[in-house]
Amino acid sequence: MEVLQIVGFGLIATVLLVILRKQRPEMAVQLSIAAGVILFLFILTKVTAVVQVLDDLANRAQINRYYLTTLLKIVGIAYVAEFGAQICRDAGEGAIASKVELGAKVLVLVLALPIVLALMESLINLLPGGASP
Amino acid sequence: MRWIRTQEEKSGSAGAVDAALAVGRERDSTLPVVGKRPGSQAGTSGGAMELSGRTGRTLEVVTKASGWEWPLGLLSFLAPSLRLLLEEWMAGTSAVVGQVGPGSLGMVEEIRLRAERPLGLVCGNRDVLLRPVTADELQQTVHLISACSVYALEEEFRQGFITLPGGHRVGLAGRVVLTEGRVKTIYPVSSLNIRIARQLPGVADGLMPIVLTGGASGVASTLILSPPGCGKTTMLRDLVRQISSGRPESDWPGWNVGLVDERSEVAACYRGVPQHDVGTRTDVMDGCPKSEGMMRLLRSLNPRVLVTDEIGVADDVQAILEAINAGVAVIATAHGACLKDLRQRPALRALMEQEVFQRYVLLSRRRGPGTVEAVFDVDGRPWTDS
Amino acid sequence: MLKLVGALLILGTCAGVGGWQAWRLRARPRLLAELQAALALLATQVGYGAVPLPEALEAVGSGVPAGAAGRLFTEAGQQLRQAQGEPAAKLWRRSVEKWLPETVLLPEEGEALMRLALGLGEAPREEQLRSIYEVQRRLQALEVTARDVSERMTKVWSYGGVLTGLAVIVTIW
Repeated sequence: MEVLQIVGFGLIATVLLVILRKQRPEMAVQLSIAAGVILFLFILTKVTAVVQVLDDLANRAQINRYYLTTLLKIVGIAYVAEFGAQICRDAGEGAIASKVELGAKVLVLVLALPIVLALMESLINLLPGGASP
Repeated sequence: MRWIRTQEEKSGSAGAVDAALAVGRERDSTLPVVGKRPGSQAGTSGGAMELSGRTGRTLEVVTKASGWEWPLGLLSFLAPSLRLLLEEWMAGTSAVVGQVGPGSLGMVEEIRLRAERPLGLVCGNRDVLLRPVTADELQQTVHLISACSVYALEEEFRQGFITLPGGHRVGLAGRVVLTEGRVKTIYPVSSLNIRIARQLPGVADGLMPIVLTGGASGVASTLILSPPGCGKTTMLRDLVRQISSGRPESDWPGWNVGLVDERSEVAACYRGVPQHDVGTRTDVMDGCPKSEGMMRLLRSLNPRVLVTDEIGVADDVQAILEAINAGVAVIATAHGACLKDLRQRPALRALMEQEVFQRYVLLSRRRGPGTVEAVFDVDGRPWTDS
Repeated sequence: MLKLVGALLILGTCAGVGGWQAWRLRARPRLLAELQAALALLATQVGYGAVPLPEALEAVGSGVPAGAAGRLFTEAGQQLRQAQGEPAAKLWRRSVEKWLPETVLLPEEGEALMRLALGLGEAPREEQLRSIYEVQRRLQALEVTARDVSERMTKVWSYGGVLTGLAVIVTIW
């Protein structure tokens, strides 16, 4: 079962990291990154499939493709930033982790802004007497 | 010794010797020929060890075109390129034009290495110069001779000579390193003089009947007196050998001998082992100051004869008197040309006055090194066989 | 079935590599300690016995327990015996160079050992002894470091080997 592979790999990596972190913290950081990347590669195909399905759904619902893309980007940014920030925190660099998260938040906001604006506009149009005569 | 043949010879019959020598070559007076032939001028630069009027073994060195060879193992202490050079020279295949070959030089007595100067082979008063020795070759030779262990040869470097297996002595010269005004070592070494050792067994044959008194005392205390270069040490060496190993001709079984070899010349010890044959019952104190050596030998090695080279100072006298008091015979050598010379030196005069020595033997070079000029008894009168 | 065999092979290899590295780490301070003991023996030979160098080195070689340290000194002694005039320093360096790759020592530790060549066989007794003690001290400092590293990293390597093997198996199962 694939979940066993993922969990197994994760546990092994964890044990290794624990041992390594005490003696060679710098190597532990690198190993941590590598393990994360490998785990991600494990599920890459699955992720691709999910994205494909969503894309189909959006097409059929005739939602602008742009919105789907943006949404997926935002989710992506969140996950990657969290991954990076957690690694920083594990290495003891909390301040840097916060900055990474801050950066992610700003990017998400920038990405979401057009959608929010579009939403606002739709809402205003829907409100009775909202539009100016 | 590979290059020596001995011949028993009765006085007067020199024909056999001459015949053996006439090996199709002309007699060269510079050849180190030793032998007794009446009326001929025996080797001027060789040695005639004989006692007038007595039969004795004589030695004869026969040299053909290159009938002698380098002593076993000596060349292995030279740098490889020098080894090759000497082997080529010996074989006569040296490429350098005009060099004197081994045949006409005679048996080499010294090999002289000097940095950046020609290599010299010395025989008597003549020498042959080969190609220059490089500083590198000299260094390599020093390394081989010292086995890269200068720390183990500190005393030798301080004294300026090293003894090799076989008894060959290597004299060192170069830049001297001083500590507190005294010589500490020589570094770097720029000159080497390898004196090839030759032992001449039998040279003391004539002396033995004189030294052996045949009575209960066995060996008479003897002082060998001579000017420098007369074969004193060689004579002493053979005397020790015969006293220690025994002498069948005189019915002498051989006694324990203690030898104090302060300058490492008599026994020429290499790492404590005598390189010359000094007898089967000889104990050697190598490099030890005479008085201390004699005391130690007396106390713990129970010699019946004590032998030492070149006495002359009060300390030596003290030790000798102790030995005599202990009933041990003493054989020693000293510098001098006649008994009067002895009397000039207070220490030796004291020995004479105390009648320590029963025999005084005078050597000279008159008929080559080792010629016994005269023998005196305890009172200084000519000794007679009675 | 084949998968199992393959997995075991991978596990074995990774564990083996890890274990081998761990062994090397443990062996290093041991070898350095042996070398110090050998040098002490050499100092005795040189200082008290005034034994010539070829014999002294061979005596050290046979005097220490069998191992890499003894081999070095025996080899050096033989080289000196067969020397044709080369200085002892050169021969010692040559011996160390030949011996070093077959041991667990690091290059800088080999370098410390090479320093014995300075003035080897050419200096008087005191200086010779001083040189030997100097090398001994350096080796001691290196031994302390090596011991420290060994204590820290031995577990990392032995566990790391096994775990890496497992990770690979899990990944490519």
